[in-house]
Amino acid sequence: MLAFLRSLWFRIRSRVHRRSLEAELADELQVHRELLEDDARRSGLSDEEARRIAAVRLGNRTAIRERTRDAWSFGFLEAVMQDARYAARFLRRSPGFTAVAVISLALGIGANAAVFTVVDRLLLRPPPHVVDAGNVYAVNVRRVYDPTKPRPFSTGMMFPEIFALQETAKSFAAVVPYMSPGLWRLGRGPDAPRIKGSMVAGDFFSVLGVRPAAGRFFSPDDARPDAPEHAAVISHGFWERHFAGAPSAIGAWLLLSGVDVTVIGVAPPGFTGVEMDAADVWVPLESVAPIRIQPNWNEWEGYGAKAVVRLNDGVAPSTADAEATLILRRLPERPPLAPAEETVRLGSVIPGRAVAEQPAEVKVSTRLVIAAALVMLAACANLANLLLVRALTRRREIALRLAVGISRQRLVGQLVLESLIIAGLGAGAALLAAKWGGAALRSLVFPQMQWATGTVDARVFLFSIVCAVVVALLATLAPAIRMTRSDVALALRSASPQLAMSTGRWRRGLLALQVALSVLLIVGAAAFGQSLRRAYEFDMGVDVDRVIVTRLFLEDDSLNSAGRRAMLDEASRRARGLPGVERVSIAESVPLSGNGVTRVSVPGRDSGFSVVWSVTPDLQETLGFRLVRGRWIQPQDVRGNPVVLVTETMARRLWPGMEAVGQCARFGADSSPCREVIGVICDLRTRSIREEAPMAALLATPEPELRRELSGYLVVRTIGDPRTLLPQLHSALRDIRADLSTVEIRPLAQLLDTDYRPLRLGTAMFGTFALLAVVLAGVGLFGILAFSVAQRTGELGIRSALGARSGDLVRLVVAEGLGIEAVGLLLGGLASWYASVAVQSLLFNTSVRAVVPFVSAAVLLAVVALCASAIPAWRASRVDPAIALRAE
Amino acid sequence: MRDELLPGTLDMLILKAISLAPMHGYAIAQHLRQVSKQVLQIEEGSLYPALQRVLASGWAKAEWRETPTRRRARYYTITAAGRRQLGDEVASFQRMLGAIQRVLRTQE
Repeated sequence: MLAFLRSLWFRIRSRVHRRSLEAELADELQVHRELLEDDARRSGLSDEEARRIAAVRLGNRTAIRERTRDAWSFGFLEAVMQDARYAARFLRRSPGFTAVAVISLALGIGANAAVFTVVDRLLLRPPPHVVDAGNVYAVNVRRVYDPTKPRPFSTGMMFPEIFALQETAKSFAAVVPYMSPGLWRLGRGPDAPRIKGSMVAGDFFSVLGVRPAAGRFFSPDDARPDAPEHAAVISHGFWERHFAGAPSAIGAWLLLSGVDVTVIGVAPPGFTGVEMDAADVWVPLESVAPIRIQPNWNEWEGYGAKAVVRLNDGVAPSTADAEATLILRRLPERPPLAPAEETVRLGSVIPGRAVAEQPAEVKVSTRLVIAAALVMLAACANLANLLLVRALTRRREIALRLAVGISRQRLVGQLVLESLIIAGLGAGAALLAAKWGGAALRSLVFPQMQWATGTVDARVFLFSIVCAVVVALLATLAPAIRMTRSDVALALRSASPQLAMSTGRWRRGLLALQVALSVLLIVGAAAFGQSLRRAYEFDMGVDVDRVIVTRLFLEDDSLNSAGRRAMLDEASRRARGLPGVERVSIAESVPLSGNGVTRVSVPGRDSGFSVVWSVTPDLQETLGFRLVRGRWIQPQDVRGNPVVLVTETMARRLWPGMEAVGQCARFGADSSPCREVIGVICDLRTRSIREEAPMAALLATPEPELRRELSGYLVVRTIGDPRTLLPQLHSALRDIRADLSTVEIRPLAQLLDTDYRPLRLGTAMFGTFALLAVVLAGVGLFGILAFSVAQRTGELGIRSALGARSGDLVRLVVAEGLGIEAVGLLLGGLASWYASVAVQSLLFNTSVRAVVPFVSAAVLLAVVALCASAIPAWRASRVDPAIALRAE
Repeated sequence: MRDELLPGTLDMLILKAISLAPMHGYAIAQHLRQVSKQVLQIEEGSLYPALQRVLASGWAKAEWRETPTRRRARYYTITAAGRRQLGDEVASFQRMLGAIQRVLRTQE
């Protein structure tokens, strides 16, 4: 090492003093020569003889100087620089090739890097700013109620369960309860903005090991139920948005959904707790929950709490699982409606490795990794193909250089260098693609999420460079070695078709591979697209597209049922006056809002649970239920015998094989009257298009019943697109009462967004990737055919001379293109058939193994193949036999 | 007759020569010729690239001095690193030579 450094230093110094070194060497050689001449003269030779002898003994002075310079110079480096200049010149001279190669790389790597910017956070990294995240786990519980029905793990827990773990379990250094972010109102009045607030136990930040960006986090005093004031930690993003990042934010007061809080600290940028869903503000559970939830919030009530734990050092997660499971199963006090059996499993806080059911966006994203890899593979194939073709067109040049004496090593080195330059350019372009594509993808997939890092960080950078170099080397090395091994004599005689033939199989194979990859992506895109269409068209049993549901809340929710009714009547009067409103009704509850169930029975047997909505006659039409048979509820019905409309599922299940209309069913207590079924309506859903249709019934009622606290919806049916009506509706209702706190206005269709979004994402991304792959395949096919026509000019000329018409020649070329495409189509079809399992669970009412996706792939690729063959075919048809044969 | 120098040995021979006394290029060439009894004939110019390598490796130092015949010539002096290198090279060369000889001496 030392010797190497010394020699390097010598070379650097030599470089600086090159001039004087040259002079010194010349002097040295001159002295040597004079000494030789002296010698010769002393042995009696003439001056001239002596000079000659001296010159012979000394040898070729130019060669000596050359070789001496090697010792001074960075020989290897200089050769590399020279080769790089040569390669750059060559690439500049063939801009078409360079552009296509660079673009192939940029698309392939850019697509991957863009996906990586999203997936990196999902699959590879723990939540940002969490210290020693390897010991931090999310608690998941599987609750089995009915042993025949398997249920997934869920992070939802009850507070008493979490407190039991806190007190009893020995595996944990800490157990921290918290609640996922919800929407909180910031300030007063119906126009106040909504921000995301999360209640967390006081030790949340300290257990995660996060350090504040400003101020401090919760102290034990902040987390006491009787804390004099409520402390709040705000997110870095909220700090910048709301306080412009000013230090004075610490100590500021915020009014959060009616609770006064004081800002005590700012979380570091990108901190999202242990979930991906970012909060704007965190408040201590212990002091705020009694106000926000209820005074006895820590007793049994729903599975709305979550827990994050830190394991004690050296405790295996499985040990902790077993201990926690035992604790939950042996709780002295069981929750109401307790499950038969609980099982605890600690899950990673890295979203992609979570134990609980992953959100659909995460699942789609992991499939996108595969899709992006396919694009990369297609780009590789394209590049390899280009280089093979190029190798053929260059083989005379290369043979010539081999013949003139360049070493094979140096030649391969040059070719590799060429591809490294392409890789460098490609990686640069890919990083740009990743920067923009990644940002677009992030906002498409997780619009709510706060990202700790920019799209292109060191990892993405490294990833792109490594990909580019590996791809470029893989794509070059084989052709390069092959090319330099070619028989010099053979290659110099131009018309040797052997090499072209032998690589032809490779080129067609690579192209077929590209087509096959395109098929995979097109089929994926088509399947997602069809799912999306089916989801949009899915019949929810009500007019999803033309209904707005509105709720009104007051500052202190003090109204009784009559007061709420009066307010809704006023709201309904105002809404009716708006242009574009067709009808307005008041409802106790509406479909798609997560509805509760009631026991239903037909006389003589218990029949299970049903979702029920009480409806007034006018609400039927406003919501647009669909009657299958029987009749609607009429105004006179509500006064006479009690009647009910049931869904098809209920009719089928309660009265199998019988006509439901005319039967009678009892809802709720046994003492309630048996209601006559007067009609059957289409199935309804309570939450999602993916759920199985529940048993549901519409109970006729004369007036909207607003028995439960906070119940009551204003249902507005619009003439056109409901979204255009939202602002007017808001301004019409916002001053309905002075103490109005919230006007919640949502088009019914918006409730289905969680269903639509993953499908939209899948369609958009698979579509984009498929487009990239098809473009690559099209360019590749064009290149191959153009080259093949150029190679076969002679043959085409002969055919033409023998009487083939230009139509025949065109057919010849197009047939070649379509032939390659057919092979690729077959391969891709088979691959998609088997790969379909990977996405099937994400689709909606669509099978990948359907005809439509495959036909669309075939048609699209056939069109591309025809377009790609057009120009080469035209060229083939114009081959002039006289010129072609003379060129031979 | 002129024998080709074994490849890679020139640096070693140069180091050996200047290990006896500081010498200039011409003197090194003379020395090699005389000591080897005219067997080792080198193209004298090829000494210079080798001398540059030796300098670059830090095995020798060079300075311009007056010769006994009152000419200025560049004298090469071996360094400590040069002596170590010479020792290594001689040892490995002799190991190689011994091995070759043993192979050649084997009887049929």
